Amino acid sequence: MIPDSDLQLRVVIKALSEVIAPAIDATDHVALEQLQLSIVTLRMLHNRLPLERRRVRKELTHALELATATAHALGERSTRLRAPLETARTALQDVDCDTANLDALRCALLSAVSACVDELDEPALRRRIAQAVVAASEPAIELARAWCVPSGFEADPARLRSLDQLLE
Amino acid sequence: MVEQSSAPAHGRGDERAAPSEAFITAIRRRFPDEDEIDRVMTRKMRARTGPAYSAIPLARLAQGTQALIRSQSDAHATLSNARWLHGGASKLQMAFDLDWCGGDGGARRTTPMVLRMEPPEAIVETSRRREFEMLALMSDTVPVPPCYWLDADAAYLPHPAIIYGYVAGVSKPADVRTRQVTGVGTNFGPGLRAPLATQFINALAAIHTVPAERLAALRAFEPATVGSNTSIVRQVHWWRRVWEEDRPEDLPLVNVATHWLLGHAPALDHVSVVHGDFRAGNFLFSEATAQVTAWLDWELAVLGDRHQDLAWASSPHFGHFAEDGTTFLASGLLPTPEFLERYEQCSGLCVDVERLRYFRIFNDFTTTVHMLATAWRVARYGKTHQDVLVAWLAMIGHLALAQLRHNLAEVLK
Repeated sequence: MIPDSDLQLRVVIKALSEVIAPAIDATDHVALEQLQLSIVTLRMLHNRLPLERRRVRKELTHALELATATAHALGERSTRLRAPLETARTALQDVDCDTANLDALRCALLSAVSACVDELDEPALRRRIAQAVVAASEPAIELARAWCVPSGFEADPARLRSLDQLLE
Repeated sequence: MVEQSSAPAHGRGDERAAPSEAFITAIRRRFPDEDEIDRVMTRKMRARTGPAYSAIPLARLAQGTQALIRSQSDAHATLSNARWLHGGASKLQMAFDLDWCGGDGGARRTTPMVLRMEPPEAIVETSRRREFEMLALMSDTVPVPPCYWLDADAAYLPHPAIIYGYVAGVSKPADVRTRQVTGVGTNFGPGLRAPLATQFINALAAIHTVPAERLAALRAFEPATVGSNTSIVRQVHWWRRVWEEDRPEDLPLVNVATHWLLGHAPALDHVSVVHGDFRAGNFLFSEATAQVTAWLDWELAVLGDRHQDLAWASSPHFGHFAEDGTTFLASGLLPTPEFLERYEQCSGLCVDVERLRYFRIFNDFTTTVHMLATAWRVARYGKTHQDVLVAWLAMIGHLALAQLRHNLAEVLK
């Protein structure tokens, strides 16, 4: 049997927590802090790894929605967005498309939208695009925040929707 | 108009990982900045293909530090008791004792000191020369560590560094346990809040009201002018430049923020020294006396608008709610309205809500750049002595981005 990620991460976390940590000099604060962060990072990875593919697909969906909203706001000037939008839509329908490719397509969409934002010089249109980008960026940020809840930086994580809800 | 962004870079074909001279030149041209900032950023990019951080033995640092001191001061100075100093996310710090005759050639004495050195690339890339100058300027304004020597071009040490005096104190109460890795959300407890809050406000007011003629002594800072927004525009360029140098991928919100910040940069009504990172966690105090012993981390200081510090010190990231569960304490010290009101009284300078709003957006923009671009970049390429900490901190970037989005939505209504 090929060892699965779950098993491998479990044993590493256990070894670090129960064998390595007690063996470190208690006055070596740098080493202790980095070990503690290594353990919590691995715990987070262990917890999130099974959700990775769903997250990547959802992130691409959000980028697609952002680019679509931008294209609508741009009207006839949305030429730059057509190809990456089409490619991303096709990839999302392909269940065999791997996560690295899906992520590359998401990056391409974000780059195309960013380029559109930077190219504009007409104030009214720039404002419309800015409003569209601001509105359509919310779901991706919410997902990222929910994903990163284990970091402890959220003042009130209960106010965020759960990852299960956000990945539906 | 800001020119078009470059293609995304997620490992494969990442032009930022090995930037060509043409790439570096193009970014410098797009985002003109102060000469010293440009020097530091350009050096960073030209050194990017250099090695990742590898452990530097304490003995190597001690040897380089002693050589630096002997070359610039006492030829018989002797360093001992070198040890790593814990804390901070950005620079390496080594504490040591120096046996020397002092700067005045007087009696032999032992002075505890700290070496503060950059890693190959830091979560914030800044100038040791500026930090050294600002510490010197501030030495008779607020308590700061006495600053002794500078190795701006890494002539003696592996990377640029400064040496300053060791100051006793803590950045948070010893009995406060926190899950956080920095001063984020530090809870000083009800007993310490009042005395620390008063000193916090007094120090900020003193920093912001340093007379203009004294600012002219700064050589590594370009002047700021009342009635002009040039100093703020320079800062927006600075951090957009860093975004373009470090980001792993595009984020259209950052582009939107850049345009809004450039289009709405307010003209200065008063030129202040802006600390740039004035908050809980960046000062030391004595738990016994509740007296602040030193204001730290001046690496982001600029000449500019006081509202930048006011917005930063009252940011949601660095405060927490009081025991009543409803009153937000700026930097864990006092309610934001009280903080601003007392600051006005103490400094004699007004607090303008529009400027405050502008700098809340500016600060969220810069935090987004630090955390979602630079932190990713330096951790990915192993450039620091604590990549695991930097990668963990990067996650705070999503909160900054959420706040940036929220605040931009308000102003774009």
